[in-house]
Amino acid sequence: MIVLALNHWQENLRNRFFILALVFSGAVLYLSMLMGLLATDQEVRVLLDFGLSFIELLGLAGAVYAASTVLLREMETKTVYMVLTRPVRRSHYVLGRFAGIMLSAGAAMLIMSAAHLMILMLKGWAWTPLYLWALLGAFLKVLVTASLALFLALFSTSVLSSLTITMVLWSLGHFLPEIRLMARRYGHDSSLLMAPLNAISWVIPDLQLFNLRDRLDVPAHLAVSVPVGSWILYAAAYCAVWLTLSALLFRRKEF
Amino acid sequence: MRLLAAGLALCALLNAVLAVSRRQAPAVDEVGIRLDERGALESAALFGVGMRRLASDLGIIRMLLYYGGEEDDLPVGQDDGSHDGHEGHRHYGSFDPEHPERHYGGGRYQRLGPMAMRILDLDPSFSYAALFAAGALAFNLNRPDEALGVIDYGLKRDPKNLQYQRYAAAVGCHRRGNPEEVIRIMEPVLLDPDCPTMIKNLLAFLYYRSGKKDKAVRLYTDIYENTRDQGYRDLARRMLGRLGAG
Repeated sequence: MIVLALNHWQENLRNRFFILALVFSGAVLYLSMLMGLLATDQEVRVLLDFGLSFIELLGLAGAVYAASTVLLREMETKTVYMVLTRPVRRSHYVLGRFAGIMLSAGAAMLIMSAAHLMILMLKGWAWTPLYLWALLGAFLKVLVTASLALFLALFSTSVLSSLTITMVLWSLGHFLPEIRLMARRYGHDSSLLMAPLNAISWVIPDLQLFNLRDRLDVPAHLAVSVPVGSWILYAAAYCAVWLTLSALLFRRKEF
Repeated sequence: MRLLAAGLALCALLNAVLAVSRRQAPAVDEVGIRLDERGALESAALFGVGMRRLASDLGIIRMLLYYGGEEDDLPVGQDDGSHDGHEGHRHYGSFDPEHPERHYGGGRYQRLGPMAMRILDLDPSFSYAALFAAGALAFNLNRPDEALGVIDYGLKRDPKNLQYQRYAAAVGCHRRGNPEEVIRIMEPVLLDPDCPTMIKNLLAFLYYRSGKKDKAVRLYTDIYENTRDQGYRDLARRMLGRLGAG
């Protein structure tokens, strides 16, 4: 499994998408510097927010795209035979590929954040460990979403539908508190209308939970504190559910 | 299909456990959100990808550009007696050392208050936006009631914020024409690294008017050396020249 993960990571490093993502991240960081200039007194805040947001988006784009395509492509090109004819379990194959995707996404996010931190330091930003928590939160969001994308790709056997559904779920995952509030507020008067929305809110991942960059300098009395362990555990469990199901689905596939 | 159903059931279980463990936490901002039609689509899109802070950042950039640029929402045919000055601001005649506040920040800027409130809707902890708008409305545009409205809106979301309380008191004193009291109340605000340059400029001017030239020079020097806003830098340079410290 580790060999598969490292192998996939090396493949990704040579991939044009990875290099393009890094070049694009440079352009985005430059853009965030320009936006920072417009914000005068709030330059550092704008730089911080733009940087962290785009690091997350680029990490997500790379990981979700890879998760949606990797297994389907290898099944289509029959390269999957070369691995499965060896003593490798199918579940290990899926997990190894997924670990490789997350290694690549993590490495890309770390490189981008190193560049981002350098710019922030040059602008006089005072270091806070919250930055690392925000980055970890972003990575966990990418992890949860990519595991979902992997399952959806195997389930639907279509890259396009997997990408589309994943992005819709990603978006809904950020509206979870609002969806629940809406269901609570209008649940009595229009229970039928609210029922599907309410049901959806119980199965989509609560991505807002990992949005630590939105709470970077929120005063303590305004902050909604969620114990670190609980959201890391939540991400791990959510990811484990979809990876297990992906492995089960892959085991049933006939080539 | 059975696998999908099993996955959904497990996710529901996970979310239920999370909901139980978080039942003490407030779900969302109960004050509510009013999206301005000019930026509703952009805000909704940024909300959708979990970038609320970024939406508020774009809001502050838009607000600073609005207040730093020429007004586009003056009623047709209505002239406020001003003319365009540097950076497109409407200025009241040439630089008047007795009223330097008019050199920067004059005009009407009707949307300033609502813009600040919208930023607070997006990020309730972003007090800079409210403080900037309240300062401009009260001290530059002479609309203390609107300023107090913005402060009140901020206080509803962040009742423990001392800066809001200070600003509210200072606006009250300004309305009663008591600059000494405004200085006394606002001086601690200078210690805040997030203190808007516009407020520093106001205090420097009040120091100058009340004869505290040393403090005025110190503050104008700070503005000149540290602000990234060219308008305030030019103003500080002029005032330092007038104070004999240029």
